[in-house]
Amino acid sequence: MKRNEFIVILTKRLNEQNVGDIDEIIAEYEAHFAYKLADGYTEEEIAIKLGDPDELACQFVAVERPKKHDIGRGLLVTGLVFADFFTGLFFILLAAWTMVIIGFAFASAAIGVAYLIELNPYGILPPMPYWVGAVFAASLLALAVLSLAGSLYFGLYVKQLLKAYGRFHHNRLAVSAGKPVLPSLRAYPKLKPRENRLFRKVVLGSLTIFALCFVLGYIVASITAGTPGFWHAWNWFV
Amino acid sequence: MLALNVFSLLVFLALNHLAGSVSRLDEKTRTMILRSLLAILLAFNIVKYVFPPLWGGIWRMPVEFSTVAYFVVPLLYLSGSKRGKTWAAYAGILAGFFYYMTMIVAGGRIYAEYTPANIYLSFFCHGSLYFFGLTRLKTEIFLRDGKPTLYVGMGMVLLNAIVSRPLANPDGRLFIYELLDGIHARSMMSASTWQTWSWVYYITLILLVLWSFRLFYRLNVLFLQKATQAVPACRNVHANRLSNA
Repeated sequence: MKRNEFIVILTKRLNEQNVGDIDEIIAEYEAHFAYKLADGYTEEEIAIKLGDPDELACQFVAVERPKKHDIGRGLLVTGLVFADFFTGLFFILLAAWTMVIIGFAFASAAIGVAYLIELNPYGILPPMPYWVGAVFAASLLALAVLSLAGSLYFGLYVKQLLKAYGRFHHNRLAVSAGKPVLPSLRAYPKLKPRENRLFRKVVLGSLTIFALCFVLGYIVASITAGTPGFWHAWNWFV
Repeated sequence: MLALNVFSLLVFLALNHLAGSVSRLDEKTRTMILRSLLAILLAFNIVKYVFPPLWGGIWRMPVEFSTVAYFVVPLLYLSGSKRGKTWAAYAGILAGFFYYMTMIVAGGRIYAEYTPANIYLSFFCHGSLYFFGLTRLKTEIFLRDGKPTLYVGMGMVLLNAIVSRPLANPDGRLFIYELLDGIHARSMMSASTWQTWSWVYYITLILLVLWSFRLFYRLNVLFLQKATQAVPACRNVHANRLSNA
């Protein structure tokens, strides 16, 4: 059996068996033929070594073709549009939450910097001795980094969730049309290993600094004010 | 003013962490960071000490151990002096370490009246010296044959302090003169007791300086041992991961 004949039979049998990724399988056999031909084997020898293409095709597992659903396409589209409305609202909420976290990060950074440079616009910041403010400022700056990293990850999460929902949308329509479906997408974002390590380092570092400085800030504020409720001693709520 | 002590502790911890991270960088990057930092330190102190007299201000002779180190450490490192490298690292780590220890223990009491800007500048100058010294200690091998440099360096600092006493800032509190005059030891005893036992004070002082030299070399060995043990361990983990893949 020649190469062409072998490939034609194999392709036909794979198609009959409804095997997925036929192109990849055929390309692999083509590459095998090319490799062995380069070694000096004849096409017939290679085909014999490989075995019967019918038997080879039987080894591959068939892809389950989606059955065409009975519900009407119009009904499905209506349902999806209805779902999209609520899902859209949900995504807007998630995006808004990301913006809130970004805003929180910038606000934390601004307050931290304000305490460090002794700036109190319109007297909105609660008064405290400079070095107590400096310890809290370190805590707030770390919180800003932590929040920014959190908002970045949350943004990526929303984006990936949107993609996954898009794929779900596509597959539902494909099922109703009896077309093959695409594999589902994961709901969470996947970072590159290096980015992942950096991200983890930044998050753990900023979380540690935030927690440490916050606790130390509370302790020094309490000792400086002479009471655990230092906010009363410094008249924050008067 | 406990908050200043706590803030100093935070800065000190951050410096240690930063020095550890920089010591793991490649030599070219590390050298560039240290050179840039010391160039800024030198430039800042030239502006602070040299220019004011030219504009009619008061000349203040640098006499304190750390103030002298602001000039000597960058000059030795930036000029690439091989003889002076031991002194540069020693002076950097000693000046920075004792400053931060003082700040952590009694910063609020001693520096309460200083403005935040002055304290931040002081943090920067001493922090740069400490960071430089610690990074060098973690990455460079200092052989014992560099010990004479330490004796000469310490002798020069003392000589400078003694000779320049009339030019030193008379209003400020200078720790080096408090140490040389034994102000704190004197305050704990009568004048006659001090006259009898002052030699014990000075011998103790000399022994402490000699012990700091020994400690410097001991720490260098410890840091380098730690670094060389850490590298193969990481490589093994990496190799295992590759073989498992």
